[in-house]
Amino acid sequence: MPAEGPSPPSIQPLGDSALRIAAPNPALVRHAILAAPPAGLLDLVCGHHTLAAIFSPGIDLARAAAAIAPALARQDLAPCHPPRTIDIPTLYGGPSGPDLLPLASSLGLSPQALIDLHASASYTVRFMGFAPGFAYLEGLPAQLRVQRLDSPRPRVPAGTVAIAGPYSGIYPADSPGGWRLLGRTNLTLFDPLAASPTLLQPGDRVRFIPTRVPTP
Amino acid sequence: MTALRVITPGLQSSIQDLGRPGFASLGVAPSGAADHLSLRIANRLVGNPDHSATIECTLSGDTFRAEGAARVALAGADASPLIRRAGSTLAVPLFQPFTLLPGDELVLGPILSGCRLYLAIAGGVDTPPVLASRSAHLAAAFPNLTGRPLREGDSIPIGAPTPPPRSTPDPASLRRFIAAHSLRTTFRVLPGPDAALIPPEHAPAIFDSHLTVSARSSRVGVRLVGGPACTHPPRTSEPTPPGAVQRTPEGELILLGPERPVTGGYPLVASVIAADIPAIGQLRPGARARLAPITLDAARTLLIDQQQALDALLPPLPA
Repeated sequence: MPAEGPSPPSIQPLGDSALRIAAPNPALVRHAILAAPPAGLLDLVCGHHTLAAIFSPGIDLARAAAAIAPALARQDLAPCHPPRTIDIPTLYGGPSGPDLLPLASSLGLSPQALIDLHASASYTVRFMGFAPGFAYLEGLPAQLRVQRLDSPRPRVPAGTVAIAGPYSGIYPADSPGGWRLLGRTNLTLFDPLAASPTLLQPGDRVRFIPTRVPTP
Repeated sequence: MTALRVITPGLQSSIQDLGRPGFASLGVAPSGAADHLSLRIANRLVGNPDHSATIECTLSGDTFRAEGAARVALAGADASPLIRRAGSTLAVPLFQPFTLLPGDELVLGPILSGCRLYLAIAGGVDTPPVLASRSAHLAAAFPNLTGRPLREGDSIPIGAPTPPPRSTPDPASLRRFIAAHSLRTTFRVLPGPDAALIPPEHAPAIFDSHLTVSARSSRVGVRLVGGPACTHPPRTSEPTPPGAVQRTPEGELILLGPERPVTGGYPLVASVIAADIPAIGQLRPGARARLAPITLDAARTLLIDQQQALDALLPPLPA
């Protein structure tokens, strides 16, 4: 795993049709590459420490790596939209958050203390992924850092608020999921017919607002 | 413009084309045909461009009624389809175009080996595209037929047909091509970025061992069970390329499919090469599969050879 710090981005093959670029801030590298996208580029996806440049199959990866090398040398581009703050009304616990009680118990917290910790933090969208409209939210209090489940649940309902590792997140649609489930919101996280299909975008600030009933 | 009506749905049939690359940064997987080689063959047999939308059937096919005449073709896993026409039944072939008359019922029936069968209709399925593709994304909240499998009563609109190809090859040659490329069960793999997390004593149980396809497999990923359990250190969520192989702490290997999560936290221990990705879509529960390491140069040669072999058998329509 790459270390955090000022080391320059490194490029390696990721399978036979993609490159893996390790960088301290993948989003900035993404902007730099998109300013002059190389031939055959299909997708440019950020993760926490790396981004993947996915190409049409059959690409010469050595040539593709050479084509994006100049973009990696310059990281002077800034994210392109101003941060917004988005409130997420959340019903914690009960059937909406089946992991709240066992997690509170294993962390030595009362359920209310766990809710207060999760809802009092201020989060930032670091990157999108996992599922359409799913935002990885940084800012989870250190006490709440827990591992994901050993085996994912086959189905987690849409709107479920969850935590795993250093992140919180919200499942935009019913899907399999390995995170610990704390509660649920009624907000729509992903609408593929909207001009902007995702409620959240990288850089957005997010707050969870505890409610008794999820509000539409 | 004609339509197909779903009389009896299959186990999980959906509209699929070549998918929607370009939206992974919003968390949107490309979706698209799980076996794009079979999709391309079915499309080329009826004179469609490769990117036309088809119907992808899983383990069992649907029964459709033709609301008008249509030229169609089937390609992929083995089945024994038939047509019910005016009180009689006719067997219909795979890998060869044929015509449905108005009122015909096309009965695709169970899929006998492999997992997926593709039905292409001249003119292509003509549902409204969402994010530049007609492909269903079953794991996400997409509208109408882009968000769910086919159901009884669905009417599937068909576009205006393009001219048929001048000639089509011997169906046996196409069947052999699919057997070799889409129905293979040895998957050539390259090492993943987390390959070092595999303890050396586990490598023989992961590579060059026969693993079993779990019933918990889907278009998201095909799970191979039978390998040893292993606790990995926590890892951040990072992008998953096409064909990526994740390893869960329970020791399952997940060969990620067209609806893969575009980032994930399980270690990426390997990547299936592009030439063998269509065969992931043809693994049925209970089948045995094996991962075999290969080099990057060999992977590229295999892909180029595969593309050339397909185009030599059945050329694509000029774009």
